[in-house]
Amino acid sequence: MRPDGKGELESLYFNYPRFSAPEGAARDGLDRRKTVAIAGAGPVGMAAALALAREGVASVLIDNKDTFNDGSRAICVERQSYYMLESLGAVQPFLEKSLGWTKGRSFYRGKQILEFDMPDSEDEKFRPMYNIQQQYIEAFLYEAAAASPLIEIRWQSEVTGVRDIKNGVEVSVTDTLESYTFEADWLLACDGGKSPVRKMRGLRLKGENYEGRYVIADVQMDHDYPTIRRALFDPDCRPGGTVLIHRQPDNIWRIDYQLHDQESTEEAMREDNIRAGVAGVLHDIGHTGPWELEWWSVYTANTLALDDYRDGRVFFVGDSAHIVPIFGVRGLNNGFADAVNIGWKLGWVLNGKAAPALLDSYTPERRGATLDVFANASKSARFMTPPSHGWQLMRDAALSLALDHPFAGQLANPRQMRPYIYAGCPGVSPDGQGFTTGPEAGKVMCETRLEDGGWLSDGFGPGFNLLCFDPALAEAVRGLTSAENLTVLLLAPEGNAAQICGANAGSAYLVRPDRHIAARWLQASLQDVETAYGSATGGQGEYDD
Amino acid sequence: MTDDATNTEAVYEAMAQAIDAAGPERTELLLAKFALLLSEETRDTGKVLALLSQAAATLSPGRL
Repeated sequence: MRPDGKGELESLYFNYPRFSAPEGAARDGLDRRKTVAIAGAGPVGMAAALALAREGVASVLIDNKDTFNDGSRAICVERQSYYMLESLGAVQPFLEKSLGWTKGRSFYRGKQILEFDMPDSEDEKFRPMYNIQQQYIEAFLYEAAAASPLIEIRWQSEVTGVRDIKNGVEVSVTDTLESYTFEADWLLACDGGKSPVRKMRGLRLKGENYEGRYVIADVQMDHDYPTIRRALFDPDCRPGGTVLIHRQPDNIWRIDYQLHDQESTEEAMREDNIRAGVAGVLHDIGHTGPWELEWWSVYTANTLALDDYRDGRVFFVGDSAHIVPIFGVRGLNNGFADAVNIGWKLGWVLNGKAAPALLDSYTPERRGATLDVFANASKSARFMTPPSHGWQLMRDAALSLALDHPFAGQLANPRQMRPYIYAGCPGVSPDGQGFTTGPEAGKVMCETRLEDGGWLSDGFGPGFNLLCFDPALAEAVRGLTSAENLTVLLLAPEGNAAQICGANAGSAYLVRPDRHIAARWLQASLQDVETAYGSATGGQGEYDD
Repeated sequence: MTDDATNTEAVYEAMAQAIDAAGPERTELLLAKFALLLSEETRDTGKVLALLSQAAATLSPGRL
């Protein structure tokens, strides 16, 4: 919502574009069959379209809105998402606009009880976290999508029906001019937490609703504090409650504060109450200067997910498949990971480079990631928003101790999440024996600077990558397939890459297009690589169950 | 009395006094903080959890 007297999209710092439904010549062939249709042109839908375009697959995005989502919403974008944005060819404007950060501080009754640093070093290409408003995220992805000849976006176009047909779905659409249908081989439902496609398919999210409700409000102000996430427990302005404060670009500050049980959402959302709530927080952090209210909303902490992210020819991607609590910053980050996961897999299957069985690995990998978020985010949520007397008492005991015992302060660590490890998932081989260090199979490949000053990841090709330390193996693998499918990086056995991989001259790491490790061997053979590559592209018989 | 019994008795008395000093409103918080401190000092999660189970097991009505 915005202050009284302001237009619905009248922002202090962002000009919302207005998109119309297809016009003129663009209406020719609206009913033509498509390979991939994507419901929802939000950040996840656009990321999925870009991931498919990277594999040479065309798609059409259908969205009922006429502009981007309103408000800053998902503001924390993690390191691995920046790798994904890089692979989608869209990272540059993000790097220019966003604010990178590494540090968080927690306070209890005004006193600092914890300062945590997320892993970062000179061997990392990207910072662990960046703050940027969702409008910019959508705008930058839109610029990349609009520049791609493989991506068509139909705005002001609502998906009103999805019907199974032979080898695909029939999608019904109503736009500002007419209703029509078209057929698609595949449909990606990227249509958000309230996903109309999910309802049309008769599917429901399952899980828990937490009682914790947060007001999220943006203010513009000159406020001298670095980009450090602040959490205030039991502050003067909200006795017993929790407040989060994030810096964003354009002098915008995000303030999240917890509502008490007795506060009604309707009351809390009234502008005078929002202004009073924000003023209380600003008073507590010592801000005495002027501030302008930009936008606000309310958020409920939930842990809900679909049992299966696939329903026939429909895949659910992002919030349509899972809703997670706000504290772990996993909503959009996991949405990007979903989009990239299904993007490369569907692309490879459509190009004949992988077997259709590869698509069956989407749900276990990405739903597994969601359940992992639930386990961690639920811990955070219980600390931020204790659900019962017992949790409240222990939280208060930890906070009270944390004033002079750092170990107790660690309980207030928000567990900003690491990417999920796809270990045990189909297509990821069991971890190689004998390693004493380095990322295991299923993990995201790590980064380092090479001896020539470049990044390890800069040498990655568009498909799979084999990190290899033996010239003979490198030569043999290069004979297997084209570099477009599998790029071989021959690295020095005593170099930085070998060190972080725990590798010797005979070792190898097979890395998937989404940078997760498909397999690694301390002593690799050509046969090993062939088998793992086959398995990771859906070719082996591991998908029977 | 053995040394162990003397130690336990000293803790017993100090806890009684600390609980009285905290008052009924703050007793729970005091005991929760005390338990976390003991746990941190012990550094034996299995033992601490087993002791917690022991304490909880004999809370039912009719047992002391």
